[in-house]
Amino acid sequence: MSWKLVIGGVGGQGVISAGIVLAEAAVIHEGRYAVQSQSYGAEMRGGLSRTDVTISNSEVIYPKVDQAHVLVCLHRKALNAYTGVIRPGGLLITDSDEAPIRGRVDSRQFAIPFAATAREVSGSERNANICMLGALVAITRVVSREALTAALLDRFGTRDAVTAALDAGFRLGNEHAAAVAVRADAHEAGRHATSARM
Amino acid sequence: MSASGSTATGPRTVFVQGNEACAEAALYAGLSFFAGYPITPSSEIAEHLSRELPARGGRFIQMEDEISSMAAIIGASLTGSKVMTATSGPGFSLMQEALGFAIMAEIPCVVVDVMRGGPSTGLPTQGSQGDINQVRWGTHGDHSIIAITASTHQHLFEATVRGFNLAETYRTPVVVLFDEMLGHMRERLVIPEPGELPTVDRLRTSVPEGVDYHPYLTREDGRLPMSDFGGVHRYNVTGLYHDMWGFPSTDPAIVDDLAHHLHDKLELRADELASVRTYGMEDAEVVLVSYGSPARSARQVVHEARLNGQPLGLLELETLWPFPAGVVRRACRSVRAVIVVEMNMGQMLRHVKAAVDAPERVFLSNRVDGRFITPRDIRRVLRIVEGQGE
Amino acid sequence: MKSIDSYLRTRFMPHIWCPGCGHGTVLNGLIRSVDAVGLNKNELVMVSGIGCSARIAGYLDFHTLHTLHGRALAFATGVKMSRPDLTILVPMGDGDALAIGGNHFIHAARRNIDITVIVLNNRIYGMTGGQFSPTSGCGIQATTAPYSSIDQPFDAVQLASAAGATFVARTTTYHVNELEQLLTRAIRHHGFSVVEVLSQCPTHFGRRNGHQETVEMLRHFKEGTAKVGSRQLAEQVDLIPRGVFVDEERPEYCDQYAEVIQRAQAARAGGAGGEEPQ
Repeated sequence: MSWKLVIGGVGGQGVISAGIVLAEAAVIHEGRYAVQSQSYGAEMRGGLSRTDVTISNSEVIYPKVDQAHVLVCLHRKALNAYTGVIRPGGLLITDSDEAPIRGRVDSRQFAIPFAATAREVSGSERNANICMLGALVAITRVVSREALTAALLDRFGTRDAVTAALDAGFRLGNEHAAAVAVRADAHEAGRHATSARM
Repeated sequence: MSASGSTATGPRTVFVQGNEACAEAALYAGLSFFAGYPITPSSEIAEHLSRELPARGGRFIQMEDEISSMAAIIGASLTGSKVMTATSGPGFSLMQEALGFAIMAEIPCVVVDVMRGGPSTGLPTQGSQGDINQVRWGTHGDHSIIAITASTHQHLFEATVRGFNLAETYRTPVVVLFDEMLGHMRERLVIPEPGELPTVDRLRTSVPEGVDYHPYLTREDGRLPMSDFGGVHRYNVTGLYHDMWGFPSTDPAIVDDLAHHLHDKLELRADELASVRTYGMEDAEVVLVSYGSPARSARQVVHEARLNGQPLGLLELETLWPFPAGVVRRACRSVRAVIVVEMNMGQMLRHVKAAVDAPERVFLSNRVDGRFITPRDIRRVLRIVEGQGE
Repeated sequence: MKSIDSYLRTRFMPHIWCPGCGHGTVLNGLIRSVDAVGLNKNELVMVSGIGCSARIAGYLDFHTLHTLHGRALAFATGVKMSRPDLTILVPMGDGDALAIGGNHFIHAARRNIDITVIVLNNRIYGMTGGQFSPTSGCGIQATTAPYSSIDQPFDAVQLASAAGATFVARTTTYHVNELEQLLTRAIRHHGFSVVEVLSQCPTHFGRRNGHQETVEMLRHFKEGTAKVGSRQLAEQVDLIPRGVFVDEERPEYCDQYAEVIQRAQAARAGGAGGEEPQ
């Protein structure tokens, strides 16, 4: 089982560190495999920020994300720039205020007010990335809630604001996920079908 | 760097950038001196070592440029330290003169080149494998050099440790080559316990004080025991052709001997120095030859082809120089086609063609636009080679 | 003192320098100063670059490292950082120190690393056949300035002082006692020390610039220079000042790095006085 995720936003939203924490949760706290990369240079014009994460139970061979199972966008610029990476039927998670979805995207969609929630529960929008991670994990189970919590504690230490943002994220994610259960196995099976046609 | 387990010894699982994996491997191998100059995409190596070296009693210095960085590690190596510098293309170009000095004076040292697009300033933040031939021929004059690479953090760790071992064993600079992709991406790395990977210590002379020591008189096993600067043997080190005491000489017999020694000590050991990894090679009819991060894309293609029953194999080179011609020739002897997968205009292609029995069956799958080569790129060439069109 | 020969690799004598060259005088003064300081040969490392001056290293029975043109100070920095207990001497020519090696020269001075530099300034590239150097100055005949040079010269003393060297002095090959005394002070100085020695190149500088005899060049050193602080210098401003220009205490680089090691290890041990960097 292999998950390919892209998280996008603009500089200062903590997109890169969110990707690292997510991957660390898998590698350090679940003993699984992950690759995290980020784009530098020309792709980053206009203050865009993007991280690619692959999480798997076996070694990740090809390190890039071409067709993402999950795209997370914390800013409308990222939504405009990255919707192409999502595979048909993939999952699109956005900040409902910062990155409202306009037009058609072939994906299952979750619009959640991460920044507003983070501000409300932790006093700062800077924790929107943590709130997002909580929701992402609640929706996808890409890593366990325990692993994510442990990875966050490693990085940020025990802080009330972090815990509050994370808990709010879990809660929001669970509410949205109640409707749709997402399983990566189906995507994986689809991937092999694609390669078989080579 | 986040890690599981908090003991200083014992294997540790970490989630790090390739640059950090390389730096950790250098420390594992016994690095005690690093000199460098900031350059993307290698700077994380210097940053990591500026923190870790002093904590272990080692020394880090940020020099005024790459020329002086290379020079400083040579000076430090002469005092008995295991040394390294790290850079990228433009800085590597500046290091060539001093790299030649280390070759001529036979100074153990490790040079890391985290490749980016070139020539010139090129693509500072994007990967490339454009320095492959520069590593071999960048410094002037006839010479030989060792260059190694890897495609995963775990293999990069092992390759870097091996690089230090080879530098000590053969008294030569060793270039550890990888690219921006591997340098910047993060993945799992298990740092082995001390002793788990072999490490080669500096071979020092047993000649006692007062007895004539010959720093450049090769032992029967081909090795040259060293004496640290500051020790009891005072000798000369020079970039000029020199005699067995290290003193300049233009005697044709001495010059001829040294020229052959510098060449032969590595070129005649190409098979022994060859390190390769193979995937699906046992019954492969078509072989991909790749090295560094593009080998991951190649391996993905092989992985999927094998699930599909296609007889495709991958020969991944970890020793680039001296070129493992014998290994390549034997591996490609009875295959229908060979596709070299690399991120340059075919720098290794020509050497593969020169090595195999049927060079007309060697093809290139490459990418030079700054983007990482994809399995799809490789499959496209594979289809053409197989006569299936695009 | 011990015999001069005990410091020399006498099997390489006679040396390669031309008759009348000033570099042998500097070698002599250097040996006398090393003897005066009382250093053990095993503790001495001489690092040199390329040029006539660099050949000093080959003649001395120290640990000797004959490197690349201009880069001696960079190699020397590596030796010193690894073994701060060793004494490092770096003889350099004017082209070696101030042209191709100018960047390394100013940065070594800036760090105040404990290395002693002797700039043997003969205002010409001798080994390559008489091209003008960064200290030739305007109006000099050289093989690459057949219509006389137009380049303004560097003043090695001012450059070293401005760059942060903590001991800076100048003398000439005529003033042999002063040469020995200044080199002795420079070697004893804890920090980056520079002694510029005006040296004569009769073969390539003198011959083309109106000095037919070596003695004339030495007379020029005698009569064209004056001690710092002397009345003579105050009265004749066109004289070249000799003596000590800078002699100050400032934290030495390797000492400071030893403190970095302490801070890093304290931080790692979780003890006081250290703070883990972020």
